[in-house]
Amino acid sequence: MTKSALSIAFSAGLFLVLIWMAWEAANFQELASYFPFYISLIAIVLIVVDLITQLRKVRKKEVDDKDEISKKETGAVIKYILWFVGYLLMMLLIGFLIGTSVFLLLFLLLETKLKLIKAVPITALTIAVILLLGRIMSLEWPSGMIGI
Amino acid sequence: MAATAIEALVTVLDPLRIMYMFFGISVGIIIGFLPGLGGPVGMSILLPFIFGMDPYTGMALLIGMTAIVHTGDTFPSVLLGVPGSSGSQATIMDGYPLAKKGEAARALGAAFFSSIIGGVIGAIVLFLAIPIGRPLMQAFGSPELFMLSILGLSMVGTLAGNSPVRGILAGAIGMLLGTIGGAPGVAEYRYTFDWLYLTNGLPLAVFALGLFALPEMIDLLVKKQSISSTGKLGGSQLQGVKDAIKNKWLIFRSGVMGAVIGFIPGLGGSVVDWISYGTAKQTLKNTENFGKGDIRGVIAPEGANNAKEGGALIPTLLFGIPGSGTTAILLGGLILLGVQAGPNMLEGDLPVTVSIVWTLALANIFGGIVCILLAKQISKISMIQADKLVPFLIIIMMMGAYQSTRHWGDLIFFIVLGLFGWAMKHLDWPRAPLLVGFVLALPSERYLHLSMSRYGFEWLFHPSVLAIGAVIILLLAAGVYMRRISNREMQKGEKS
Amino acid sequence: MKRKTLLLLIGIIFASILAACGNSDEAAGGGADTFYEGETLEILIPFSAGGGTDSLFRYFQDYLNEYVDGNPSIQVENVPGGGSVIGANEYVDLREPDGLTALATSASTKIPFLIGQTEVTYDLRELQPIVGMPNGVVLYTSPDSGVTNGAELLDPPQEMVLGATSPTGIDVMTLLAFEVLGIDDQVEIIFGYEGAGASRQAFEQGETNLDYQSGTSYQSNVQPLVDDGEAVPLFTYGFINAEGEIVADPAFPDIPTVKDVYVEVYGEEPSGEAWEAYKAFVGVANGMHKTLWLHGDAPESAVQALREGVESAVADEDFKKGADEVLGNYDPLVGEDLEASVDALASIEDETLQWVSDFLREEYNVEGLRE
Repeated sequence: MTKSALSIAFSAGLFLVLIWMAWEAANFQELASYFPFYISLIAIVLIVVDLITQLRKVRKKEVDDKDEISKKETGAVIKYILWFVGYLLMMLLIGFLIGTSVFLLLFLLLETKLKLIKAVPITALTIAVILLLGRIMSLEWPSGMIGI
Repeated sequence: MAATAIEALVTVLDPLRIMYMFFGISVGIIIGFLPGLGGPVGMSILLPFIFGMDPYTGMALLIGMTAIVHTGDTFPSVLLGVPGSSGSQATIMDGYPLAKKGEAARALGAAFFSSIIGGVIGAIVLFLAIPIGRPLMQAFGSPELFMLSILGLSMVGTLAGNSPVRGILAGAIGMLLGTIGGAPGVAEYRYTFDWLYLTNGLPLAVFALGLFALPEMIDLLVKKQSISSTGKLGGSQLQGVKDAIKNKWLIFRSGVMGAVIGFIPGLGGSVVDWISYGTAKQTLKNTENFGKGDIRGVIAPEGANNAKEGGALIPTLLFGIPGSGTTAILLGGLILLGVQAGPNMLEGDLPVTVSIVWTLALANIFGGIVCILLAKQISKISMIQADKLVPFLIIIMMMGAYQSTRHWGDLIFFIVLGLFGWAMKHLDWPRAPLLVGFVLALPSERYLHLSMSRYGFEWLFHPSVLAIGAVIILLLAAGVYMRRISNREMQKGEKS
Repeated sequence: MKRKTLLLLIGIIFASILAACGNSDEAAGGGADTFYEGETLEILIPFSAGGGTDSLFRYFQDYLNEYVDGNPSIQVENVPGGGSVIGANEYVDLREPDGLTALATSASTKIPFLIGQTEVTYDLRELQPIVGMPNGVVLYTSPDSGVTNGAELLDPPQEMVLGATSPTGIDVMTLLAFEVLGIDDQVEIIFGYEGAGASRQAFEQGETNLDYQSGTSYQSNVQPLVDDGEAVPLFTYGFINAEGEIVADPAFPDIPTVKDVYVEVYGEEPSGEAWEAYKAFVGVANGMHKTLWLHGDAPESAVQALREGVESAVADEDFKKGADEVLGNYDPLVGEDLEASVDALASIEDETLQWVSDFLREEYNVEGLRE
């Protein structure tokens, strides 16, 4: 997987999204359509320029060695992204307080590699602080599907 | 006037009021420090406390907080690369690289000192505006406001780094994202997929946090480092303060700019720091290191964003027109204290107005000093290992993001924008123009629409419009010229 | 040494915050059958903190606690979004009708219901009002326009330009007023200003020469202009009396109403669908500009207790003194006046509401309304 390949894919994806946005904009009421429509047109022109520039670079083999992305790095990135996405899903399902406790506990155990005897009190303390701050600042938590 | 000013000072210096001011300052620092929470949150916290207070005490509390939010928000921007509030994003550009170099304390020292001076300048501008405020505001009609938002957008070019095409693209995409939600003046909801959450558009805090903060979190974990890659805490606040004093003209200029831009309601105070940063980059010498840890890239935005609060208070107090979320709540607070914003602030309630000016100045000074003293201790955060620090930060950020509108969407978009931001960061797309475009989309559209509806094309020839247009062209030309010179210097340097 | 002082400081701050929060729970006292004894009443405000509605009901908090039987502790919850529609939707969809949660609305919450926006799930006619805060509306013009009274709007010497926000908000009342008077062709309405504050600013700058403001805003912000000769009031939108007819605005008894202007121009009383719709809007948006509600099927004892408590609260001398800023010269609707408003609200016919949706769709291209 090369960086240039990903970059081209990203730009191509943006291109498609922009086309869609322009098309949607054309269907808005007159006054509301000018702005998004013309701006998406400008953006489309520019993204085509960007794509062409990138493709030319690849063709001319102006790409350097730093372009290859190591499997190890990709793996790490995906892993952490999954941690965060997982946290979000947990929150949506079982609510902020429980979701955060589970996330923090698991993360401390698996990633920070703390021992259970340290991880549990730290998690408990964090939740306590969160509750305290929440009361003082009248913050709110998302409750999950099970409504906590 | 002078008599009122001195009287008001005496009132403000009452020990009980000073105590409330400090209370407000502490809340402001904590709010600024926690990313995702901004002025409005701080206001909502303090609002219940002001019942039964007299206006002077109530204002000591509320203004104490408002003044310091933009000083405290420097902590996460420099130390974590995470915007503490919407006014502190530009500080990240050079503040965070400085922290990575191990010079966090220096960056903070410079930032706080600039914040103090900037805040005082804001208070002075507010004071000076009292007699001339009302006629001054009449000068800014829809065409002028449109030109000013174009000015903000033109900064996009300077923030693009090395790739103007991508810079403008990012700005355009940001603007398109800004159009999500209700259109100004027309009952049309754009790109909302019939989701009630999106009818108000994407919240700014979620946008900024996701775009800038989340990618940093991911990267820190992947690289398994602490933020300060040298593992040492170099630099000192004193050096930072000295750097700031060396650049006093820059601070002064940024402060004035901040106050003036803050004065204009509807432009989004969130771009004040970018405009200050961009102008500094355009017009100073030797700016190749901007973005890599140039201390002036910290001084410029920090001087501006504290001054902006003073400017924003002018329309709020004199017209009852709030320029931002924070000032909107402040208006509510004033009503609860029995003070009606408007012409009366210059007559019967003039003492209250002047006491607000004093509080603003004093709070900035006291709060700034407190921050400088705390800086070294708090900077130690940049030395903590990522895998210990990041999970807590993520939790705080999720909490902060959710407070925007307290709906699912906040969290979902936080993550989605975070992933998008991460991709942008690693594929060499500049993110700053995205943010500027996002913030300025609706104001520029609204004022263009109003200008056209009201004046046809004739507004293009209003003198103030032409004046602002000239400024935009000048700044752009200056930028191009400076870049050409620095390119030539670099080439010369390479040859020798 | 520095670290310890820091911790001490933080400790003191936390302690004082907690202490301040701690005394918000009051001990209950009173009879055995009081509904709110030992309970907390939550007021859901579909706006963010600091706005007019928010300030008003926060002002109410201590008085409600004191005067409602059972002394419930009062908590305010802000649920902003969707132009206050999200919070109001949440109230009817997700909150239990147990009498322990109340909804605060402003005119901008009521209008989407009246015009039939499809996102709205609440029906105001099914809620029980506890208290209503009236607020009138005054239309005024600049002396440069050459128009000195409402009748002259039918043939103005200059181009009349009105700054408005959107044809789905409070501006709808103005659109209806213009339709009734037959002056919608003579006035150019520019939508897109960011609220009443911005349109007032545009007026002061000379960008527009026609503007309208709520009664309270007029009293504080426009009256000084009138006194300086920089603004000329044209007419008020009026209020609805017990018989359902438009009467003068109690805060501006000397300024003619829309009805007075109509009679002057056309020589007869107004009638017809537009007029019925206009009256309905005035009754709800002006008569009960800001309202506190309980669910339709909330316990009767809760409704009683709250209504009585509010009636006593607004009679309190301190309340009246401090409320001047927020209420202007209008008296809150309690007791019989409230009853009258409730009846007026309940008697709004579906045909009238449908007429408004169609009107907005045809004349102003508004979409997303009930078909």
